This record gives sequence, C-alpha cells and structure tokens, in this order.
Amino acid sequence: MVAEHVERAADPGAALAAVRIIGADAFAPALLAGAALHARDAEAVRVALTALPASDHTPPAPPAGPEAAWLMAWRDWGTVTLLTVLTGRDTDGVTAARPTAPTAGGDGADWASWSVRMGQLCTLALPGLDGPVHEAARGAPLGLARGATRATLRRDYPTAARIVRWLAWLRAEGVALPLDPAPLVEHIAQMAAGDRTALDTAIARRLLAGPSAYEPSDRTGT
Amino acid sequence: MLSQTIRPGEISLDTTALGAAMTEPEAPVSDAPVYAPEAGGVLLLLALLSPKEPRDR
Repeated sequence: MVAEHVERAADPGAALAAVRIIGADAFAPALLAGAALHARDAEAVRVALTALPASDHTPPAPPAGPEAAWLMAWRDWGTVTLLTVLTGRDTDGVTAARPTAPTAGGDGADWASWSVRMGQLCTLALPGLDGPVHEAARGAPLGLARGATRATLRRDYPTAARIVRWLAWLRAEGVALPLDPAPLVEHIAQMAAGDRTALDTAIARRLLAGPSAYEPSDRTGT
Repeated sequence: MLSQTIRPGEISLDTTALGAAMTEPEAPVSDAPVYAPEAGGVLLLLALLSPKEPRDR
C-alpha cells in the first residue's frame, strides 16, 4: 500500500514526505488488524526516512525548547521504533534518538495546551509502543478527556480526533476514564471532514473494538 | 526495488513545510456556538407574530 503510493506518485518527493507525515500510522494495519507488513512497504518507510532524515539531536521538551522540533523527534522515534520491531532487523542506518520526556501538566492548570500537544503526538497512540509520552497519558486521563471535550465544543474536530485517540488507547490499556470515548469518536466521525481525521477516528475505533494484533508483552520503547 | 528507482539524495523539500504538516496545531479560532442575548427578542417577536391556535367549536 505505502510502496504503491510512492511508486505511482508523479512527485516521489511529495509521496515520501506524505509517508514521513503519516509516520507510525503507516503500520496501523499490521498493529491493529494483524495485516502482514509487506517488505516493500517497510522499504518505502525506510526510504522516506533516508530521503528526509530525522534530526540527530534531541531538543528539550517544550516550553524549554522548540515545540515543533520536539514533536517531530517523538513522531520519528515512533516510526523508526515500529519499523525496527515489525521488520525484526536493522533499519539500514535509519535511526531516531529518543527525545526528552514531556513535562507533566495534564492535571494542572495548563491541561488545554498540554492536551493539544498530546494530540499532536497521537501517532504514538498505537499498540506496540510505550515510553514517557505514554506514561504521561496514563497519568492524566482527566486532562485528555478535558482536552477532547474542549476541542469538540470548539468544533475543532481534527484536534478532537487526535486527542480522543489517546483516550481510546487508554481504554485499550484498561485505564479508568472520566468519560466514555466511544460516543465521542462516533460524534467526531460524523461531524469531521478530511482524510487525516478519518484515519485518526478509524484507528480510535479499532483501539476501542478490542484486543489488537499486538500483545502488551510486545511493547517497545520503555 | 524502491531504493533503486528513487534516489533519496536527489529529493529536497521544504523542511519547514514538512514540520508544519507533521505538527498540525489546533484551530486558532473557536467555532463554538455562543450565547446571543439579542436572539431572545427575535424569538419573542416570532412568537407574537405566529398565528393563533384554532378555537374549538
């Protein structure tokens, strides 16, 4: 699927950038539905990371450091980690250092900006990954619930879809939540438009549907 | 093989644009419905202008 997209694209650079933007979600069919990861698809992800390499330094977590660079570093870390795990071999020199852990804040006064930032890291809300960002999500389900509700009330459905993915991931983890994410996911799916939001809601539905293809013992990144 | 048909070194993109696409921020302006007290007057006017209920005979 991914390799076909790159091969058929009129502009291979843009196609590789799209793969880089999708990031770890390119592996969602393998992680959530048990689909086999084709070697050509894995190679397409590796080529995308080679053509548009991840940063080799780890920026400090915001607000101490630049937010965009830190977010990109975490997303790249997730992509490279899953590529390594799912292919079961070396990624031919494609690496991404694990960035600094996020600052706490989900339960504090800054839950709104914190939840938006967590939403920007929603590609990490996949089975098979674990790390400081996931620990931050486990530690503040109320902040995520507030953030998802706030984004829905603002009718910012792309942001709501990103945050609700973390709630769905927490539900799949068995964490007690202050709200039921299932109706919220359905509401967002009904109201939202756009391919990226459709992907986020589809992944959230899969996470809520039941056990994933990956068992907790398969997690990596801790 | 993909790596043979595409030469990663020849691809150049605006990394700033790539970063912006990867870290999509929230909508800057809320589209939430807001309380509009002046709408009460309109509703009252519509209620007064509405036709009366038919009388039973």
